[in-house]
Amino acid sequence: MKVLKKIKSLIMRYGPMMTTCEKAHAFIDDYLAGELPAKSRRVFELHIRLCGECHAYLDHYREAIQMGQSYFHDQPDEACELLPDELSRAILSTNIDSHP
Amino acid sequence: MLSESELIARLKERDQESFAALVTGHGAYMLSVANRIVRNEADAQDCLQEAFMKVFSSISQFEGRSGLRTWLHRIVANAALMRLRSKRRQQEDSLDHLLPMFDKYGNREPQSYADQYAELGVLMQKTQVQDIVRQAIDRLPEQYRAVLIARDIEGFNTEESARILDININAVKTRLHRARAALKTLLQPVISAGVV
Repeated sequence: MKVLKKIKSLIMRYGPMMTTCEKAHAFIDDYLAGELPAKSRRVFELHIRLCGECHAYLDHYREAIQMGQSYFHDQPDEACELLPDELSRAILSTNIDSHP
Repeated sequence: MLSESELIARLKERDQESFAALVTGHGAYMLSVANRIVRNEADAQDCLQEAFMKVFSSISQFEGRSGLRTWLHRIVANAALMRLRSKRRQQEDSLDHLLPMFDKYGNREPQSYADQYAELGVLMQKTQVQDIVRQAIDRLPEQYRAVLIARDIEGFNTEESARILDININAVKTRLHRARAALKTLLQPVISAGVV
């Protein structure tokens, strides 16, 4: 296993259009935002195609972002409760008094 | 019942009944948005008051390019994020233990999810996923949670997030990357279980 890992790392470090997992990892956000320059994007995408661990990592990273977004976006409507009367009165008195 | 455009027109005329209608109609929603960000009822109520002050003082500038609810959401989210900024701890908490590791050659090291699997238990219902996501986001140190919410949830761009949170652009990018990586680690058991 160690030998295979070393071979992989040599290819990733010195092969043309190659990069290491660590360097590819640093590109993830720019890649997802569509902000990677063309050459870096090609290098990143090649790495993702060749490296199963990074491929899975990218999929799960994307999924985690979506889960966070759906949690926030799905909840507020369902979580709506009545505004406490006291708070409502405080808002109205403060704002109507100060913005006649 | 006023239509949205009628309500806005009356608000611009500073009609007091329309202000009351706005608070009654949208206040609870805005409070829940603030609560989700600051995770504290008293702070959320303060944010709501600040947000309505902003709404009342700037309603004349509302041009209707977005819907009223979207505009109100953005104002209260902004207020809540600014509240997080003001409560920021002096010392930055670490989330290094949740970040991926690489060997000396730059290869990705397998991550251990033992702690998270232990918390997850044997069975997981779909309805529990929302709770797990909420707990995972709550476990992020505040300075990372604030950036994650500003960028990924509220959709503020990097520059806007930097301004709201009073940090520089590079800090926004770095913290976002670390927060996402940590969130991914915390949610890995759910993702692996294929519940979502």
